[in-house]
Amino acid sequence: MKTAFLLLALTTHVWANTYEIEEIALPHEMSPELSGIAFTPAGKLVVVNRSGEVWITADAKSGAWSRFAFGLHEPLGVLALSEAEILVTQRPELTRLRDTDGDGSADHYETLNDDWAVTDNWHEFTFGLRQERDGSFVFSTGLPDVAGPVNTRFPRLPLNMEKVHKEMKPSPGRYEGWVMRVSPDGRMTPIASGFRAAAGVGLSPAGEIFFTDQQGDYIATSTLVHVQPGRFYGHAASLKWRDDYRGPVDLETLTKLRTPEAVALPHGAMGGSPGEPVWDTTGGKFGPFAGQIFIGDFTKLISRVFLEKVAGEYQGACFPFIRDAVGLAAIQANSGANNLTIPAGKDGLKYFRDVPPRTGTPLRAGNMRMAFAPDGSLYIAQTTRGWGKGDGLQRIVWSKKTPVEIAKMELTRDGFQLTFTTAMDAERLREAKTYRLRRFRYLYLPQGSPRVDETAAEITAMRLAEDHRSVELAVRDLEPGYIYELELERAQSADGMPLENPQAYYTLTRMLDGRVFNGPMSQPLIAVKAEPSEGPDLEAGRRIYGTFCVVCHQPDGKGGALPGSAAINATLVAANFTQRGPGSPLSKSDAELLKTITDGALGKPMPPFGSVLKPGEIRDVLAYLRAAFGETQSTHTSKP
Amino acid sequence: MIAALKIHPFVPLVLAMFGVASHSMAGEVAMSKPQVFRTFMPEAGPSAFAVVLTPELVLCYDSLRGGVNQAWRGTLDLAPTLRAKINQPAAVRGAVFYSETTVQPLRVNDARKTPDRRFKGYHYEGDAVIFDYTLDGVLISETLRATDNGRTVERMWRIGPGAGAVFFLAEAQTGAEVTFTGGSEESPNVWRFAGDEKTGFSFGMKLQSKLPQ
Repeated sequence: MKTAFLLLALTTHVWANTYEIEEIALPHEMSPELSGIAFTPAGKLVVVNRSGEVWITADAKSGAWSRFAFGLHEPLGVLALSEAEILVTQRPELTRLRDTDGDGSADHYETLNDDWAVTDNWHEFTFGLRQERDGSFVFSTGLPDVAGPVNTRFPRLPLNMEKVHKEMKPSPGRYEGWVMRVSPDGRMTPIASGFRAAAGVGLSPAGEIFFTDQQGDYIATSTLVHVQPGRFYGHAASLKWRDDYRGPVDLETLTKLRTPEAVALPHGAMGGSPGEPVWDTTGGKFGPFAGQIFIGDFTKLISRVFLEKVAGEYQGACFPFIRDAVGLAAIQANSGANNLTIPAGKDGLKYFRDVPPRTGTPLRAGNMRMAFAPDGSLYIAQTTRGWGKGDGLQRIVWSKKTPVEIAKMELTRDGFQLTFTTAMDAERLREAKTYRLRRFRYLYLPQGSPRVDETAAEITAMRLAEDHRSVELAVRDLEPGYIYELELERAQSADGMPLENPQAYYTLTRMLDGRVFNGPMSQPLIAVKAEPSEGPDLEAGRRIYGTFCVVCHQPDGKGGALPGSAAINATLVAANFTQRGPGSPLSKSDAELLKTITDGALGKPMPPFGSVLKPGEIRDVLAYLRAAFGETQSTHTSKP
Repeated sequence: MIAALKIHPFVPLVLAMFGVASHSMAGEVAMSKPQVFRTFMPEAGPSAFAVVLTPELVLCYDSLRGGVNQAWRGTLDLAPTLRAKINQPAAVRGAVFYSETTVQPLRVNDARKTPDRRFKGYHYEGDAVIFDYTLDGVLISETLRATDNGRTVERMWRIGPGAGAVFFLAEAQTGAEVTFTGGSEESPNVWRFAGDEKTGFSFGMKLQSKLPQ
């Protein structure tokens, strides 16, 4: 009991949440499938749900909500111009809702624009809503899915069932798979094509349009795209609605037409299906990430994106921000497993990272819509219908404690510059073993793509800033066209706190001199390796160790007094895996060690992981322990 | 006549979802105004409307085909539209007494020409819901309300400036008695309504259920 208390206190100390998640209770008469969120200019919170309602409250925590509108067709975007005028995107149209008699509920449902076609297909979503500086509205349409029917009765506009290439998701209705703009007086202008399921629209503080698109056919991994007029962003189906379309095209033509994403969100590691990007415009109320982008995901993830302009185009890095996923089984059960299995599928699951449980309220799945409140907290509207469990409303509040994070990852002439949110342990940052840098890319193919051409990237020099808040990394053979995956699991702040999220993924499309990848976009450069043989997965074990074990046992396996234990006036010692001789931790049999990892160690601070890790994962981490720190073979495993 | 009792506006949806009229729960009809749900409707164009005029008088309004697809005494079951990733159309629970299949039965100036129709939205006004659209650029407002203690659908059209006459291509009905006001039957099932082209004009139609209660 005492040990459990100490462990709880220790965990809370080491993983003290610099951001707290709060649950917002919803009235029972409100469907919790929240699919849009916004604040009125006066600061009232407005949400929409997939049942088609619009609700408004002056204080979400008070529980006093009123219903502003109902009967809308699966709205997935909302914009509150005032408490009497709210705009929503429904499946078939952009609608202006007005309360003309001041009773608090809309009486006028005006079609502001419906100049695109719909067919009632289940996947034919109309996503998001943002207002530009000139008053225009921006949103997107998703592509239908062949798994569901298409309604050809009384089409609003003539349908076109022709395939542009080899698309699995078609675009039978005009402007399906496009980003569109509607002027305040209701005139629509199609802006850009090539989207699959561009579920999240965002406007930068400078007024530029960004969308997220979701992984699948042609879109090898989910993306954050800077949308520019006339461009094509990769999914073939919607190309037919361009004025210059003259008939089916080949992959080579598509490749030439395609504009790459600003930032790739690697499938699995950075979620499965991103939602709305929101810019931190809170002026510091939400912590040290002013000007950066937060993106919710269908999985239990909110990511963070740093953008920079290189050779005239945006690119940058993404980082995990808040993750609440414990074990692949939990992810599969709760976070849209289907989304992680098509089509990169098992590849996505392979790269999904386990993270330890957060203290306090966990983040739910379905984080598709977010908005900053006037007080600087981030509200999250959640819906998962059909892809998992999790609906409702949560908000994230910065605790005012500075998180230890990689604030920025910028491209330099010969590598990257990392800037941290706080001064770091200089000794660790000077050590090569602190860094693990790899690179990979995705192919542009109709069926999607797993990671290819994945190799280690060598860091040849580290240049640490005097204030220990940034470090420049020189990288051998730095090349455009790759995503650089950086892990800094040994890095810690000057006062010994580990990085909260030690991963970063930089999408290096352009070098500073403007050079881009000129190799084949649809073929790997490195032959795909044969399937690995059965047996423990050392790489998986390394990741699990880095996630769950490293805090106590240390990166070098030497364990010792647990970090933070002094603060709770206790002496807690983690096992030293490098110790040798009889009685040393790794001298025990595999069976004994598997039991210890599974059930914990009675009277010691080793907690049980049997409910967190699957048996195979426990074998993986044991294999990693032996390979990294100890004898590679137990002397006690051959007992009958 | 619709009782004026107020209930929470969410209740009819819930009741409708489960195919239960509110008066069977509360003992009396209790809707103060109609309720419109845009959703997947059977045998309709994409994203049609379910219009719950009273808890026991419902119709499907199809803005793409052009009008009332069906009217029925019964309830609306929205549950199939909300259940899962891939959903089904809402279900009609009750006896359909009126149906239309003609594409754009309301015609402007020429009964033989299918007009170009653009939907403009709808609004609530007292016990009625009013759908707005244009036919060949002429603004039309179509009012729907329940009368006759929930047995009759009353449709009223307000034709905006730009049309000297409009035509309605009626269809034979077995379950409803259909009456028009303000026009004449120019030929079998083709009704003509005329008025001032500059200021516009109005006419009406009643759909009374002949089905047994």
